[in-house]
Amino acid sequence: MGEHDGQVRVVSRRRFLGRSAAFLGSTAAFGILQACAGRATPSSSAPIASGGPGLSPGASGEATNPLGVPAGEPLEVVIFKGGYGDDYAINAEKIFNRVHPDTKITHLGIQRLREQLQPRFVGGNPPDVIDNSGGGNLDTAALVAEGQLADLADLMDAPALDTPGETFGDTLLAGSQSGGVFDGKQHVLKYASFVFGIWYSDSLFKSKGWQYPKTWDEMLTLSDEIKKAGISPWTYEGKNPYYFTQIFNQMIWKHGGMQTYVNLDNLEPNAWKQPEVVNVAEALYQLADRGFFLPGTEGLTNTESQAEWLQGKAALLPVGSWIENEMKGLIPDGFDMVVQPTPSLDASDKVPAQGIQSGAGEDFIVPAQGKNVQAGKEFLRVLFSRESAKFFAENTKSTTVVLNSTEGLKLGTAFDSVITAVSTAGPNLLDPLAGYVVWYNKLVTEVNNQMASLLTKRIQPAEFLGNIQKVADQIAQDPSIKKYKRSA
Amino acid sequence: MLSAWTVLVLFPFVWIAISAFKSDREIFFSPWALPATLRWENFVKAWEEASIGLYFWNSLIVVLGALVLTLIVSSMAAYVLARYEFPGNRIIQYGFLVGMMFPVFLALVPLFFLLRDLHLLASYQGLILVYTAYALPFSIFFLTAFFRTLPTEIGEAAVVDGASDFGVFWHVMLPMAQPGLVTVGIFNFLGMWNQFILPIVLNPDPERYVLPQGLAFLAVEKGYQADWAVLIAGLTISVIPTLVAYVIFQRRLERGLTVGALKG
Amino acid sequence: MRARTPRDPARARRRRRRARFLITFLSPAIVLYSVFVLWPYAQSFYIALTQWRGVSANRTFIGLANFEKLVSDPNFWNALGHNGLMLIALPAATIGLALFFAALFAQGGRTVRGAGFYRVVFFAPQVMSVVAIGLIWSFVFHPTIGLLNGALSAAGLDGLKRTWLGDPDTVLWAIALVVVWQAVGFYMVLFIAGMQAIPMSLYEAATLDGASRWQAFWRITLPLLWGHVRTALVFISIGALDLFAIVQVMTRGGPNRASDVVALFMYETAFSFSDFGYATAIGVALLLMTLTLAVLMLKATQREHIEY
Repeated sequence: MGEHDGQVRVVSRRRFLGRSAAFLGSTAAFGILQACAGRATPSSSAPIASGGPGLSPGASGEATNPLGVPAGEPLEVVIFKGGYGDDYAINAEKIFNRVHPDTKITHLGIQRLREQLQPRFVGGNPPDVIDNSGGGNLDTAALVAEGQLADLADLMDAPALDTPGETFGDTLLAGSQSGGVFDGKQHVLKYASFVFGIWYSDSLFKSKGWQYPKTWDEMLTLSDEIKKAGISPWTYEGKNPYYFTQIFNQMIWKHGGMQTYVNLDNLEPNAWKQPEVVNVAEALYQLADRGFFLPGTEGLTNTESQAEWLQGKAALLPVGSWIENEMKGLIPDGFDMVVQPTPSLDASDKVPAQGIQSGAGEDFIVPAQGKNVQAGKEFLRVLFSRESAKFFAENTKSTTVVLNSTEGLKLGTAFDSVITAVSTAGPNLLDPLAGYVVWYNKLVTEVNNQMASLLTKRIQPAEFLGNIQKVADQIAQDPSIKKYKRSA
Repeated sequence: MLSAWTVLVLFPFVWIAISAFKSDREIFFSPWALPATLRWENFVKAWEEASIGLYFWNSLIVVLGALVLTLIVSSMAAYVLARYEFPGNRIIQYGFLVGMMFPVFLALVPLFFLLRDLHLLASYQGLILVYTAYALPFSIFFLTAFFRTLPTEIGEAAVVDGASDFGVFWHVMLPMAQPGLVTVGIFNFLGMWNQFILPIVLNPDPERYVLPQGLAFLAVEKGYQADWAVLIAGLTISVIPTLVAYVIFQRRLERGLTVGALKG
Repeated sequence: MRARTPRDPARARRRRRRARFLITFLSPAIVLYSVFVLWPYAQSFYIALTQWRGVSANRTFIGLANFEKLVSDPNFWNALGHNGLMLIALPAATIGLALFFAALFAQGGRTVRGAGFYRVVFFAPQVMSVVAIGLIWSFVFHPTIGLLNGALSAAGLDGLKRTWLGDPDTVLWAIALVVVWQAVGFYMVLFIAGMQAIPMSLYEAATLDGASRWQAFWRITLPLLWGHVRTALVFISIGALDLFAIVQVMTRGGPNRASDVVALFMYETAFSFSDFGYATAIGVALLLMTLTLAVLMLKATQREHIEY
């Protein structure tokens, strides 16, 4: 428990300073300290207002319980059990019970959230906290529109569990939670961080002497070269080209700047016909037009296309950084997968080529109608602690949005290249899971569908954008769909 | 033609059985080759770690329970509808018939609340009742046609001998209807064993998952973690009971259909 | 029941007893069916008239607006068109093949060698779950390592290779093939059962008249089997208007809605687009269409019943 030394000091200091310290800084270390010492925390059951006086254990009422978790009330946690499994959540529940030993936790690891949870929202008895992720996740925008999600403001301002002196919000990667803000309120907290980019085998590129390009023209030249070498330059999840949609977004953002991208989010008239958007669509069409895709790609699922790529049948693959964990049984030795951002379209690009989409998945929500809303938030305070985040990284070989939680971990070439990509990007980061992508399922579905047609040359860029614009206009005019706005 | 169709039908079974012994890499990189070694551990993993064993028993309890209830309830109703004239007979028959045409999705959300209010969510009893209710249209339709084809003389003779209506049904008609019951039983067994949509909504507790739920669960989970071998082993295990049931009852199934002679 | 004299007390007693018997035998089925089937569907008819996101209890009554939206929704018509195609292709292919095999195995009591084996084998796809079927067939249709393209290559027919599930021109037919593959065995068994009930003497007489097997099939088998064919037609048609599970597993309606069907569109509308009211309206429309179709089909195929 060496790493807790610092916390021991903090706690001692707080003891010295007395109760006032609880209002100033981090407090939760106390609970962990007690747990390490194998003691129960009687204070955890004390309501916030009646924390005992002085330096008795009861004095830490606010310290261990800033969100006012009611004593003895059960907590129901529902976790999407997908690529990350749910061990990390079970681990967080153990930590939760160290802080609040008398909270009985029900844990449910499931996959089809829509069918299982939607009726419970309708019936007014949703669980207390949900990892709303996976292909069958609930429509967050609709839940927000119906007032079904708790505002997480008090959690963001609460002291962090094991980072002394900082609020919960301070301990999260800057900008990682923008996609969870609806009408200025934080309704979603994202946990597992990732980047979207273009992946290739570093060893293959080195052996052939290929360089990852900085501009789109160079990309086309490289693709040509790869093709001549007898390898298909590109493949992607052809059946549902969502990752290509994300690449499309990344290029629009870089080429046109944030305002161009936000115009799409805000359903501005003819936003999809902005010249910058047209340029990007035409650039992507080039890949199809020049025959750069692995033949048959349009019939592949994500896993199938990734398997083709791992076998060296195609060189470049747009995907997110979970790829290494997802395909771990199939990666050939010495493949050395790495990620790069999309190249600049041309010299007029507003965002430099090293800019990349960096976001976070595993969307945690606290239903407003849950029986134990505060405990739901407290669960997130625990889950997003450094201790819990470190467990997640070790358990899943993936990073979280929690700062300083992966020190000293060795997680492979993919992971290293993600760290490099993000640090090279500096401030030039775009959250791929924000804006129209999360607000309007109908729109992003349409972009995916049209993308499938564009990349197989069944439609031209103009028709591609026209079809999307039509649906964007429909959504703008449909009073049953709640609209959101954001600014660049 | 015959052999072409035989190959077309058989190879998926052979393929899935062989693939169940492979590694992930073999499945994806050389799907049509034989496994280098027989990985029995895929089955062990599927049965134990992936809880296919648990799902299997849940399925067995629910399906057998629903099957017995369906056969009792539908044979009683079908017998009465086939053999007795009374006001409303036709309407009741049509009422059951339309049930075959309902898209199940339409009922899902109301059904969830109904079961919740009856405290039957995620319970064997709840699933058994719902499976039975949704099996009734086909079962009653089929058995009504079946009972109509049975000779009336024996029943009438029994009535003359002083047998009650119930006695005729129980001692005379039901034994004669056995082939029809077997046929209905098989079809319902297949449908219920593979039923997927109803349990997803009505059976949210992983401890109570039935096999199709468990397999879909595995498919999603393994899809993310690329553990296809275990998934395929699980699929193989799930096919066995239906295959065995079919092979055992196949003769009687055909006899049931022969006598049933669905002359709609 | 025979004519009765109401004054006869013994008769009256028997009538009461019989009524009690009827009620006892019918009520379990009626109660179960009404509570778990009819009542939920009845509620959905109301939901179709509301605007409802399906994530809270908050519903607004909007009359027939959802149905108006339906009429002008190109995605609905696109999906319905695909169901329409399947409605023609599936019964034709399934019944055609099933009749062919059944006739080989059972017409006129004659049969081919190993018929028992074939009958077991052909029925087998019926026992597989949709998840398994989807998985297997996606490897068959796989564009690079798929068995189908592999077989075409081996036969020197590289020109016929396709991305079966990724090409809008082939995707529906690829799915149809899988549906037919699964269903043929079932209907074959049904038809065999029917053929076995046709008296052998009819075929013997036909043979004496010099009729071929083919002629015997058209003149004797098909007319006498008509009741079975009709039943098959109705069942397959109802299935062709659904197809949710297989499409969901194989393509999720893609590419770009080229294999979308109404039931899947309904599912997407409800759960992805959070438009439950509209989705329910789609479901109600689908139900009404299925009902109409079944009635029309039964009327159109009505023939005089042939006794034998």
